[in-house]
Amino acid sequence: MTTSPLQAAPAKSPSPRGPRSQQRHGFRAASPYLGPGMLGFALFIVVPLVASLIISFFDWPLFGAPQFVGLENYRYLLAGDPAFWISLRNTLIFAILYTGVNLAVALGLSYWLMNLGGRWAAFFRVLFFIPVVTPMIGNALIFRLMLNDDGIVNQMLGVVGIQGPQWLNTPFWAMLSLVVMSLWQGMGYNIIVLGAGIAGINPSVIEASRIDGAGAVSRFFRVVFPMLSPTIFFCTIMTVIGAFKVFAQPYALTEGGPGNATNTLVLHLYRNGFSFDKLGYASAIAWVLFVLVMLVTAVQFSQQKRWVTYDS
Amino acid sequence: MTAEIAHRSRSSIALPQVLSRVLICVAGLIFLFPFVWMIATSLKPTDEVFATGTSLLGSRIEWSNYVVASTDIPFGRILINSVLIAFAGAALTVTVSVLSAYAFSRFRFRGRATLFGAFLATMVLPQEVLVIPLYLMVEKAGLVDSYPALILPFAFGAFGTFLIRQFLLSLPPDYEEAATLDGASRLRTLVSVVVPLLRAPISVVFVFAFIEYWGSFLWPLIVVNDTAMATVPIGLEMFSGERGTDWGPLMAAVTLVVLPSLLIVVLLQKQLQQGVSMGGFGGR
Amino acid sequence: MKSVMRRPAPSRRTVLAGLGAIGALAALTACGGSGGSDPTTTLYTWISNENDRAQWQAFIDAAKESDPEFALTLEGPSFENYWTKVKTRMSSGDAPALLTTQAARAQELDALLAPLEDLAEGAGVDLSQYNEAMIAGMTVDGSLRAIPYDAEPMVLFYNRALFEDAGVELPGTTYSMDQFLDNATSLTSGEKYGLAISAGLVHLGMSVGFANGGSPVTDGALTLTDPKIVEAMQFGFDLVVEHEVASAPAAVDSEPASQQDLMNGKVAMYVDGPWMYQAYEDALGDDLGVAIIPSETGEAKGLIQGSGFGIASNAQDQQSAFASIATITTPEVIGAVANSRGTFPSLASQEERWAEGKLEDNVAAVTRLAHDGEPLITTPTWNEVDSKFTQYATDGFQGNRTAQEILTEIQEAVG
Repeated sequence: MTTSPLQAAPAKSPSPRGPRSQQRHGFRAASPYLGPGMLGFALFIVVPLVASLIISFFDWPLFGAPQFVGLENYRYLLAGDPAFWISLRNTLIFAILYTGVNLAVALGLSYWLMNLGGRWAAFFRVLFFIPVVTPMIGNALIFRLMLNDDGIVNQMLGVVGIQGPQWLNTPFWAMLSLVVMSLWQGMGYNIIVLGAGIAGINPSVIEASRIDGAGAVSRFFRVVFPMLSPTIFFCTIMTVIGAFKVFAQPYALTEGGPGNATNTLVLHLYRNGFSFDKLGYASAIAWVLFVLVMLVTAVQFSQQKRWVTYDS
Repeated sequence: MTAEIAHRSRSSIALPQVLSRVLICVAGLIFLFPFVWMIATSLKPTDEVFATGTSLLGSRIEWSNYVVASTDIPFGRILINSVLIAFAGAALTVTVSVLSAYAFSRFRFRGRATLFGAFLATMVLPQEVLVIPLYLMVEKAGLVDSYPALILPFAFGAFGTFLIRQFLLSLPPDYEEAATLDGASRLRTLVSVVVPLLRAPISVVFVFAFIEYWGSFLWPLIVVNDTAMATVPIGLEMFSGERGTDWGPLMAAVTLVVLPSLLIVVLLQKQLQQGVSMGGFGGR
Repeated sequence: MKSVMRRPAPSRRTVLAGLGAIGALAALTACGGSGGSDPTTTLYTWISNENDRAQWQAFIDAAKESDPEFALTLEGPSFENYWTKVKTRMSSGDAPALLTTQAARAQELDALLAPLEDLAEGAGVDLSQYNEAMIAGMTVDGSLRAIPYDAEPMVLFYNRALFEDAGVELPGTTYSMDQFLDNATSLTSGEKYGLAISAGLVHLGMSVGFANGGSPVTDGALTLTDPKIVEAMQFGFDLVVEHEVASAPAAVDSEPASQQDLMNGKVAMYVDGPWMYQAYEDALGDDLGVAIIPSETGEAKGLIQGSGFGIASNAQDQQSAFASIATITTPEVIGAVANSRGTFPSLASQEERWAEGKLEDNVAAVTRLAHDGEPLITTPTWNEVDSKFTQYATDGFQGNRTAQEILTEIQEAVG
C-alpha cells in the first residue's frame, strides 16, 4: 500500500510506536536534531512569507529607499492593471487544461504500461520521464523551432495539405502550444508516481476481477481507480500547484505573448519585480497567488471524501 | 512485475499484446521526436533550418555549430556548477530531513504536533511566493551570484522530513535499543544504526531534491548574473539571448545540455522506479 | 508499505559525496565568480550577438594602439535582458566597476551611476568636445553619469540590388511616406517583401512618428498617445495588415529575424541604427544602401540614440575605473570604432573617419539625420513601456487592435 502525505492529517500525527523508554522528553533533548531543520524553516520560509506581506504595502525599488503606500498596490492590482486579470485568467485556464489532460493521459498510460508488463513498463516509464529532467528553457527552444511559421509542424501539415496556423503568434494557438509543451515536459512525473501506485496494488485483486470476467476498462474503473485514488489525489494536488506556478514555459516559449495571451501570474510577478522595478507590487501578486493556491488546495481536500478511498 | 502473472503460464503472446507493444513503441517515438529534431537541426547550417522542409539532413553536416555553442558559453563550468549545486543541495536536504524526521519521530515535546503540522503545510506553499523577500535577504547578505544563494533557500522543504518520518514510525526501535544498551550515544546510534536502515527513503529524497535543483529556473534567473555562476538552464538562457534565432548553434547548445540530463535519468532510473513505489512522491 | 529491511549498507557514501561536493564548491568559490578579474577593468554591457561582441572588441583593439597594456573584460546578458539584470548585477559583491548605458535609459539607472565631472576634471578629460545632446541625455539630476561614444540616428537600410531589379528609384535624403509605401509595394512579390518590421518599441513606427515631429516623452512625462506617434505606429501596423508589404514580426525574437532577412536579401528595407552598419555591409557589400526615414514632408527629423560608459556608484576605486573609461573614449578610439564598425561618433571631429570607405549617399543620409535630429529622452519606467509594447505589438500587426488602443493602454498602465 502507498502512503501519501495527505493521508496523515497534519494536526494528528500518530504518536511514535515503540516503548516509552526510547522517547526523551522536552525540547532540550530534541533540539540538536530539530535545530537545523526548524532554523531553515523559519529563516527561508516563515520569515519570507511574512516579509512578502509587509513588502506588499510598500513601493519598493531594487535600488533605493522603500516608501509605505498602504493598500495602493492592491488597489492597482484589482482596479488599475488589466494585465493582472488576464494573467490570472490564463493561469486558471492553464491549470485546468494542464491538470485534467495530464492526469487523464498519465493514468491511461500507466495502466497501459502495467498491462504490457515488467520490462516494457520500466523502460517506457523512464523514457517518458526524460523531458522532466531536461532544462525547461531547452524544451521551450525546441518547441519554438518546431512551431515556427515555417517549422517542422507546419511543414508536415503542409505535406498533407493543411495550412498550419501561426502557432505562437495567435492567442488561442499560443495557449494551446504552451499547454502541449508543458504536458510533454511534465507528464512523465505523474506516470512514474501513478505507475508506482499501480505496482503497489495487490495483483490477486486484479486477477480476481479478471476471473469474474470484467473487461480491461471496467476493471480499471471498478478496481484500479478506487485503489489508486489516494495516489491520484496526491498527484492532483501537486499537479494543480505546479500548474499555478507556471513560469519557465511562457517565459521561454512565448514571453507571455502574443499580447498577454500567455502571460501567467508568476511571469507577471517576475516582470513587475525584476524588470519593472516594483518589488512591492510583485509581492502583492505573490500574496494573491499564495491565497489562491491555498484556497484551491483546501477545496480539493474538502472534496476528497467524495472519491478518495483510504482502505486497501 | 504484476501484470506478468497473467501470462506466466503462456509461452506465446496473444495478438492484442503484440499490437499493444507496437503501439507503445510508436507512441514513444512520437514522444521523442522533439529530441530527434533537436539533434537534426543542430547539425544543419542555420540558413537551411527552415529551407530543408521535413528532411532530417541539411546539405552538409555542420559540426561547427557545436564549436560555436561550446566556445561562446563556458559549458564545462556551467555543467560543473549545476552538478555541484544539485549534489550539495540534495545532500543538505537529506541531512536536514533525517535530523528533523528523527526529532519528530523519536522525541516528545510540547507543541510537537502543531509544529509538525505547520511545517507540513508548507509542502503546498509555492516557493515562487517567497522569491522577492529571499532576493532581498540574499542581496543584503552580499550573496548575489554565490553558491550559498543557489543552495540554501530551498533545502528546507517539508517533503523529505515527512517521508523519512513515515518510515521511521514504521521502524521497530529494537535496533536502536540494542545499540543504546551497548553504550552508544544517541547521535552515534542515529548515524551508524538508523541511517543505514533509511537507505531507501534517503535515496528517494536525494533523487527528487537533485532533480528539483537541476531544473530550477526562476530563482537562479534572479540571483545569477555572472556567466561563471550560471547553472545549466541559465547558461542556456544567456546563450539564447545572445544568439537570437541562430538555430544551428542554439540546438547544438540544447543538445549539449540534454545529453547530461539524459545521463542523469539513466543513472537514477533505479531510484526513480523503486523510490516512488515505497510511497515516496516527489513534492514539486 | 514494502518492508525495506536490507542489510545495512554503507550510506556513508552519500554523506561523503555530499561533503565532497561542498568541498568542491568551496574551492570553486575561492576561485571567484569571474575568475577574480579586476572590477576596474571589467565592463558590464549588453552582448546580444556577434555584432555587439565585435563592437566592444573594436574599442579594446583601438585602445591597445595607444596603450598596449590595456585590458578590458566584458560581461553581460543580451540587450533585452540587460535592463533587467543590471540592477541585480551591480548589487553583488564582485560587481564590475564599469557599465554601459543608453542615454535613453540613464534616468532609469540613476542610482547605479556615479557622477563623473570631478573624475573627468582630475583626469584632464575635456567633456565639452562630446555631442552636446548626448551629454544632456547622460545628465541626471544635474550631474553627468556616462561618457557618450556615439550619437546614432535610426536610419532606413535598404538593398540596392533589389531596388534596381524592381526598377525602383533609390531613396535619398528626402523620402515621403507615400513614396515609401509605393516603393515597398513594388518591391513585394512572391517570397520577397518590401521591408522587414520588428516588434520593438523604437523601430519603424517610432522613428516615423519622431520624423513627423511627434514625441513619446514630453517634459519628463510619458506622452505615448501623441497623435503623431500613434499615427506612425498605426502606419507600421498597416504596412503588414492592410498593404501586406511586410510579414508580421514573430512574437519572440523578431529583431534578429528581421536583421537576418535584410542580410539574406529576403527583404528590401529595414529600419535600424548605424551600429549595425558593418554587419550589414559584411553581408550585402556595395548593395547596402542607407536612406532617410520616411516622413510626411519627406524632410525627417532624426531619432537619435546614443550610449556611453559610466562607473558603478558603489565601485571602490573610481579613479582607476575612470582611467579605463578615459582610455576607450578618446577621440582616436571613438574615431577608430566609428571607422571599423560604422557606429556614428559622439564627436564631430571624428565624423570624417566614420565616413571613410562608405558610399557617398549612405554617408549623406546618416549625416543628415544625425545633424538634424533630437535624442530620445525617456522616463524611469521605460523598461516597462518597452516590454509591454513588444508584447502588445503582435496584436497590432495581426490587426486585432489599433495603435491608439495599445498605446493608450500602456500610457494608462505605466504613465
